[in-house]
Parts: sequence; C-alpha cells; structure tokens
Amino acid sequence: ANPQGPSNNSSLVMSLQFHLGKVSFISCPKLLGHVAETVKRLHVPPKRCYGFILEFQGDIFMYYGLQNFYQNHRRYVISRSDAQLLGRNVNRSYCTPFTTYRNGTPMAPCGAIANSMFNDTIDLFYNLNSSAIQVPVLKTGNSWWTDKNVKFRNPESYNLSSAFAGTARPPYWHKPVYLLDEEDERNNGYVNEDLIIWMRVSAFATFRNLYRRVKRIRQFADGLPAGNYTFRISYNFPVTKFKGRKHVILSTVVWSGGSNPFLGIAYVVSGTAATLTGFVITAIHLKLRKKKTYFQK
Amino acid sequence: LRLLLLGATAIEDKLQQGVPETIAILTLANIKIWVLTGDKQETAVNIGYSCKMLTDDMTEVFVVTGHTVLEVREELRKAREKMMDASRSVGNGFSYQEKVSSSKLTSVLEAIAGEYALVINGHSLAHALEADMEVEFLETACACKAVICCRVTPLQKAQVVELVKKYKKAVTLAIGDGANDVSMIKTAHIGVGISGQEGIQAVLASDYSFSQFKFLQRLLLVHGRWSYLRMCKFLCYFFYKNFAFTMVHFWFGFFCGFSAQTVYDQYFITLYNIVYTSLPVLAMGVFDQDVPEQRSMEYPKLYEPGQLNLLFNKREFFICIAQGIYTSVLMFFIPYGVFADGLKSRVEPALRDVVELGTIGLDTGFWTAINHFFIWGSLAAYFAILFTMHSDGLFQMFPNQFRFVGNAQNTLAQPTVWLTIALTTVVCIVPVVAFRFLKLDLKPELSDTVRARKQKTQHRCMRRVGRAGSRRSGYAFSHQEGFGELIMSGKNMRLSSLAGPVGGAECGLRFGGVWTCSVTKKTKKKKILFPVPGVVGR
Repeated sequence: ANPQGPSNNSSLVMSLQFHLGKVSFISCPKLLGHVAETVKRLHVPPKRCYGFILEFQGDIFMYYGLQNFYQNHRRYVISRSDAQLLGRNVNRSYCTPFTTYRNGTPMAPCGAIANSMFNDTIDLFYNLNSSAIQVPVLKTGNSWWTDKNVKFRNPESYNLSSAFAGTARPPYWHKPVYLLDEEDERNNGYVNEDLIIWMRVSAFATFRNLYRRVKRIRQFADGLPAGNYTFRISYNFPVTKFKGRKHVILSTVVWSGGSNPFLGIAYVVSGTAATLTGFVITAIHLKLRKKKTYFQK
Repeated sequence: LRLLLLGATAIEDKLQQGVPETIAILTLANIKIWVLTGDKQETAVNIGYSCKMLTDDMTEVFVVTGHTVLEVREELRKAREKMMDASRSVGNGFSYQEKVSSSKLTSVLEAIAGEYALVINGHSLAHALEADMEVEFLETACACKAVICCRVTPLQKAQVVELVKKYKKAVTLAIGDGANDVSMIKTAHIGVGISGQEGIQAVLASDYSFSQFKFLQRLLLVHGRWSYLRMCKFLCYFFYKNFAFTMVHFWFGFFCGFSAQTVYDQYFITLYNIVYTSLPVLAMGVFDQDVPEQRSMEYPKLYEPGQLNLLFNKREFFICIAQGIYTSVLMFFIPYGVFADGLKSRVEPALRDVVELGTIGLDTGFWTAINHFFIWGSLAAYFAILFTMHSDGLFQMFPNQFRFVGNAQNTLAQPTVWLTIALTTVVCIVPVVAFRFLKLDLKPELSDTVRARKQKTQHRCMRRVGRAGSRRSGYAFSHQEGFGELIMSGKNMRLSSLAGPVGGAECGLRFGGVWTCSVTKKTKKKKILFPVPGVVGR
C-alpha cells in the first residue's frame, strides 16, 4: 500500500503533543513519563524529551502533524514554481515575495511553500538494558513515484552544488537545498523526499505528513517490540507564532486506510438509515395498496 | 317576367378535417378559443356550429351588433346580467348590486353556471375596444365559453389579441392562414401559420407553421407540453448542479481562511459546465418524455401543469437549491471526514462527477440511446481528461499549469477514494429516490397515473387514428334575403354598391341540414329564402 495514503484503522495511534515553548532540544536526560493525550502548555526547561511505553506490530510509519497551519490558503498554494522544481530556469513565477534577495540572488526553491518547510528532526530511540538504540528508519520511498521522478528534478550539472550555483537558500532554511541529505545523493536537492512531501500541500489546517518509516531489521523486524521509547526532537519549526501545534504520530497501516473511523462509521450510519428508510417506505406502500384496493371495491 | 331556372352553382370551401375534434380537445385542455374572422356573421356562426364551438346545448348565444357605443354597452350589460341571473338562480348566494366594480365583476363572472357564447360584429367591436369599455368587453367575453368575432379587420384582430394579453395573465396563440391574419399572428405570444391555398404570408410571419389545423393539437398537447417539461427539468438541473458545485467552495472557505482557494483545479472548473455535465443535461432537455405521445394526446388534462406554472416556480426553485446545498454538504464533508487527518487526496472532482451523473440518471424519465451515450460518455470523458491532465506529458510542457501530475494515478489507486465516492453518491441519491417513491405513492400526479396505466387502451385509440372519417363538410348557408330581388330589379347593373350584411337576421342553424330560420326585417314585402352560395372556410 502506498505509504502516503492509508493510515491506521485498527491499532493504536499514539500521538504526542509537544509543549510549545521556546526551547530547542538537542539531547536530554532520560525521563519516563505518562503518555498524555492533551498536554497543557508548560514552560519547560531546556533539554528535555519524552519517553513512553509502546508496542507496535507490522509496518510502522512515523508522521509529523501540524495544527492550525493553513497550507490551503490561496496565496500560499500558488506561491511555488513547478518549473523551477523541474530544474529549469525561471524568470517569472508566483513566488513573490520569496523569489530573490535584495542583492539579486534567486532563491532555490522559491516560494512560500518551500520556505516554510518543516525542519524538525525526530529520532526514535529504543531503551534496552540501559542503552538507547536508535530505531532504524527509511528516509526514502515515502513519496509518490511520479513526484520523485517526474515532477521534481534537479538541474543538470556535474555535481549538485554547482547545479545550484548562483542561488541561495530560502530565508527560513538552515541549509541550502543541495545539502538537504548529504548521505544519499538521490535524495538531495529538489528530489529530497521531505521537500517533496511538504510541497504537496494539504487541504486542511490540521494535517500530517509522512516523515519516516521504520526499517524492519534486527530487533525491529516485526515492528516495535514492547519497551520504553524516547523521542529526541530538534525543535526548529516554530508553531507558537501562529498558535499552532505539532505532533508526532506513529501508526500502522491497513488496506482501507483511514486512521479515523469516519468512513466506517459513515457507512454503518448510512446503511442503517437506508435500511430503515426501505422498511418505512415498504410499510407505507403496502398500507396504501390495501387502502387503494379497499376503495376500488 | 318568366324566368327559366337554368341551374345552380355553388362554391364549396370545406372546413379542414379534424377541426371540431381539435377544438373539443383543446377546450378540454383548458384553452379558451376565440374566432376572429373577416366573414359575415352568418358564416361565422355557421362555422361555429360546424366546428362545435357553439352547440345547441348552450344556454344562450349573445349577439352584439350595436352601431353606437351606447348600444354596444347596453348589449354587453344585458349579456352580463343574464349570465349572472342564471348563476344566481342556481344558488350562488350573494347579493347582487346594480353597480358592480370591475374586480368584483371578475369574481362574479367566474362563477357563472351554464355555457354562453358571444358573437360580436366588427363595427360593434370597434366600439367595444375603446379604452373605457375594453375591460368590460373582455370580462364579458371571458365569461363565455366561446367568442366569435365576425367582420373583423386585420387591425382589430391584433387589437383583440393585444387586449387579452394586456389584462389577462394568459399566454395567447393566434393561428391563421391568410395575409389578413398576419398582424394577429405577430401580436400574439405564439403565432401559428397554416400553409395552404391562401399563400404563405401567414407562414412567413409565424413562429410555427403547418398545413392543417388539426396539427395544432399535437403542437400544443404533445410538443408544447414536452417542451415545458423539458425546460423545467433542465433548469432545475442546471441550478442544482451549479449550486452543488459552488457551495462546496463556500464550505471550503471556512477551512482555508476564506482565501478563495478552490477545491478543484482550474481546468476542472472550466470544463465542468462545458464538458462534464453539459451533455447529459442537454440530452435530457431535448429528449425527455414523461408520457408517451399517444397518451399525451388522449389526456388533455395533462396540459394543466404548464398553464398553472406548476413545474418550475418559486417553490420548485427552492427545492432545487436545497437539493444542491444538501449535495454540496455531503460532497464536501464526507471527504473531509475521511481525509481530515490531512493525508493527501484530491478526490472531490471525481466525486462531483459521479454524483451529478447519478442524479441525472435518476431524473431522466425516458432513456434513449443518446441519453445513455451522453451520460456514460461524460463520465468516461471526465476520467479521460483527468488522466490526460495529470499525465506526465502535459506536465513537462506546462509545469506551472498542470501541477497535478500523478494525482489521478495515485489517488485513484486507493480504495478509500472509491469507497468515499460510492458512499457519497449513495447518500446523495437515496433521499431523492425515497422522496420520489413516496410522492408517487401518496400524491401521484396525472402524468404518473397515465404512465402507469395499462397498455390495453392502446388498441382502442389505434382504431380511431386510422380512419379519416367520412365527415360531412360544413356548409354554411346565408339566410338573408340574398340578391334575388336585386337581380330581378335590374339595379345591379348600376354602379350603386350592393347592400352589405343586413342586421336583424337571426338564424339558428343546426349542422346536419335541419335548419330553422326566422327572418325578421323591417321593410319587407316578401320573404324570400334563398340559399346563396356562401363561402365557408377559415
């Protein structure tokens, strides 16, 4: 199943809510805490992270979720240049005001969508016998094939940094686009999957994007074994400015997708309603027929 | 002076076939028929009898032949009094006052009992159409079952039509075959010309033309009715689909900060009305029939909904809109609910199309091959265009325009999408189906019952249709004095003009040959009954 599409239906969805605080986490002492569904705002001291107990089986997907982030605002949606993301030179686009710097250097990639890319780093650690093992995750294979191979292409050149010569990173980015993934050349530049996934804007203000998939090797071959886990997050993406929230979501997948039970409930409800209506109509029809024949006599 | 009768000549101008039946059926369809002719009174009255507009069962036939305004007014007043008297005697039960205001007049005259006819001459009509008397004339005339205006000039014909148009909220149709009917044809809402021996002047001025009067029945009861029905359904549909489509953006506004972001891509929006949903609606608007044509002709009562504006009025419009809004709510919020956690999907357009076509499929009462082709073809065209627009080729050429590359292939591969489409379609359509079914059961309309009627009545009417029927033509005889005396006196050789129609002759003529006639004339020595060749026609 397409990892982007379906989401969990049957198993637990663990979601954590981060505190909104002006802190950045780099490393943290181990802390065992409850998994809280709703977390109130707390002013937290720096260098903290969350730990919890969980167990998952099967393919596990890690998502980051945002709330109150309107990726569907019209001016935001058009603020991109697909031609540029194809590796071509563009002169005109709808990217303003994120097109060029004052000294004339063009931004790569331009536009508000790219500029506001989610840049937190989320790592999951499994605590085993007082040592923390980082859960191996897959960075690629998370986006649509057509996106990765057709819609987004790097400009041609003998190496990636020269391909982007003469351009600069967007203002909110920490790294230029050709350093998005230094380990994997095929996930670098415009074809970086995090960028691709982010550029596919969502339709509603509360959404989640696939971030990583658990690589099923070693002790994670069957999923996440029971135990204590810790998220370590480098907090870069500021959500307090727009009173938003961010979440991390872990879930498994079933064929029908739909982590929310909405579709199932909707089907049940409408099926019941339709059956009831059917009964009612049949009853009315039969009663009327009796009445009609009575009158005809 | 001894004369030897050498022979007799006569000119026969037959009434067309099927005229009485047509008039009878149109009267049953609640259509009032007036005759405006340039012929003289006797001819016109005879025509009236021969085509069954006037019958012997009629309570009274009023003749208005006054030469002055006062006389005409008096005659009209007397006619009204007689009609109201009769209705009072039947027992309507309200007090009659000498001077009745015009609005009360209408309500009183609408409740009369008995059938009356009004025959009015051209010179009287000239007075009756004057500004102060026209309403009175109109009220009196409308209270009668049949109105015959004779010796009418072409201008007066147009004036009469104008009068009806102005004061009555009725649609007027004028049908004629001669050049003298052209003004009337042009004035009426619908002008019909009969092409034939009179030439094609009337045809050139008309909206519709055919060769026989009896085709009027088909024009009105079959094609007119269907046309009204189709237009109403089409309109309802068009409003429904556009509302459903547009309101989705309204709901989306709540979720996108009212930034006017569209739910569908621009090409879908452009093509929506033009390609995806136009042809099925058009097919329905052109081909739909609610009742087969035979039944339509047999049941003139089916014509009523059109006259009463029943199929598309404020109420129907609001129902349409409500249905559109309901559909839009479902079409937005069901996918919203399914995809609310924000996983990427663009399912709405496909959804829209399927729901639309489902509803059209329901509404089409009469399936032809063309309907099928258009509906399934539109759906297929939608998917074809969708895949083309989301294909790689177009994207390479115009990346900024066709941003949705890969959408179709990826989203439509998810079972969730199809499940959502199926659910929404069903939930949109099921209530409509339920309402329709209940309506058929609880409050069936005439067209529903007619449609459901068994086929046995078919061969009964087949027999009727085949035979032309050996009708006797309508002959009209003039029962005036005629020209015998004039000829014998030799005065016709002089330039003095021949006398026009002499007033005061009242004739009751029964179709079929038995006639009685009483001629009263002021200065008369001998009574001469002379069958003079009269022209019967038009």
